[in-house]
This record gives sequence, C-alpha cells and structure tokens, in this order.
Amino acid sequence: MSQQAISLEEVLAAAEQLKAYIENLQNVLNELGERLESITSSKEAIAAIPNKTDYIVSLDKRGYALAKVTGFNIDKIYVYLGLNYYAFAQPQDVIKLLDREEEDVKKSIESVQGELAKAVNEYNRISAILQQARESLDSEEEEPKGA
Amino acid sequence: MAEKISPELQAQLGKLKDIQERLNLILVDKSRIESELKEINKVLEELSLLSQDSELFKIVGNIMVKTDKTSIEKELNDKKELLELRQKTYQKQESLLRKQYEELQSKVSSALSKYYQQGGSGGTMKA
Repeated sequence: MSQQAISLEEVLAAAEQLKAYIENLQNVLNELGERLESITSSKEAIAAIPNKTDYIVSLDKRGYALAKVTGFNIDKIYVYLGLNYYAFAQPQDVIKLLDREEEDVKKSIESVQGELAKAVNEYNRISAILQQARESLDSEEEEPKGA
Repeated sequence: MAEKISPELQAQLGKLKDIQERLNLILVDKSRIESELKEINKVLEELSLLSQDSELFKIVGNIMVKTDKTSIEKELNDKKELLELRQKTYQKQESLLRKQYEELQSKVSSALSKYYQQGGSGGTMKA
C-alpha cells in the first residue's frame, strides 16, 4: 500500500476551503428555510381568507401604517411559476402549485442538510488532525535541548 | 530546503494547474446551465398543469406584462434548446480536459516518485 504525505499547509488550506463551503451551505439552507416559510404562509393565507370581505392591510413590513381594503377579491391569485413568470389562477390551482413547490423545497433542504452533515464531519476530522499536529509540535518544543 | 525541479516538469506542473482551473470554470458553467434547465423544465411543467383560462404574466423590469401560454412555451423551449447545445459543448470540453489532466497527472506523478526514490533533493528533477 502506498502512502502519500501531505503538508500541514495543505491540511490548513483544505480546512479553510471546507469552512467556506460549510458557510455557503448554511446560507443556502437559510434561504431554503425562508422559501419554505413563505410558501406555508401563502397557503395559510389562501385557506384562511374568505372571499369578498373587507380587510385591513399593512402598508409596510412592521405595521406602522394600515389601510382598509373593501371588496377584497380572491377568485384568482397571482402565483409565481419560476424564472420571470406569474400566473393569475384559481385558488385551488395555486394551492396545488404551492404544494409541489413545497415538496421541491423540502427535498432540497434534505439534500443540503445531508451535504452539510458530511462537510461538518470532514471538517471535524481535519480539525482533529490539526489538533494532533499542534500537540505534537508543542511537545517537541517543550523537550529540553540535548535530551 | 529549495528543491531543483527541471524546467520541463515545472512547465508540466503549470499546465496541470491551468487544466485544473479551466476544468473548474467549465464545471461551474455546466452546473449553472443545469440549474437553468431545471428551472425551465419546472416552469414548462407548471404551465402544462394550469387550466386553460389561467392568465399569464411576464416580469419585464418593474412591470408585469400579460402574455400567453404559447408565447411562454416557445420562449422557454428556444432557451432550452440553446442551453442543451451549450451543455453538450461543455460536456465534450470537460471529457477532453479530464483526459488531458489524467495523462499529465500520471506523467508528473511518475516523475515525482522517481525523484523521491532517488533520495529527494539530489540533482535536478526531470519529468
């Protein structure tokens, strides 16, 4: 069996690369989580809002200003299809589309979580190697000269 | 300790790095094309599932412009065709570069192993 030696610098570089990759995966996971939350919230709103009623809607994110909307009509809803396209469709079609999108996002979350777990394990393995190397260097330095 | 590497091996190592960088760029582009194709297929699938009376809109800048199913399908299929063509080109380039990389890597590895068998820094390392 042949063994290939790698330098400490290479291990450090691999750890840095892996750390950046883990951060990237965590960002992707956060974004997917937000998407899932948004889809769930859309579905809940469609299911909860009765048609042709008066509503109070917020004009900003924090609710500083509110406005009354009369004759709010949700016979049809604008739904995002992907890329640059929207469809103005019936609520039942919109719910079906959102269900499919929800499934896709959940699958992506599972896949990214799996990849993240693998990357974290690998990072921990490399960290342990670096820790061993550091301890070994420290003990070499502590040994008295001429011993 | 500075080790003497023959200019020939130095050039090969440089070429190896160059191939690796080109391969990485191709892989990034290929993955971008794959995700665009995935998104296009998803929209085409959603379009096929929508009822005929669904009104469709396209975002242009900050406005939504009304359009129709046939126009969107044509637009997306044209884009898909173009992307698939680029994907094939990238696949060919990728396999060619991989082959070049493997050939060069085996040459460099054999030169390096010969060098280490000879005791490391004694003399100039040749490919």
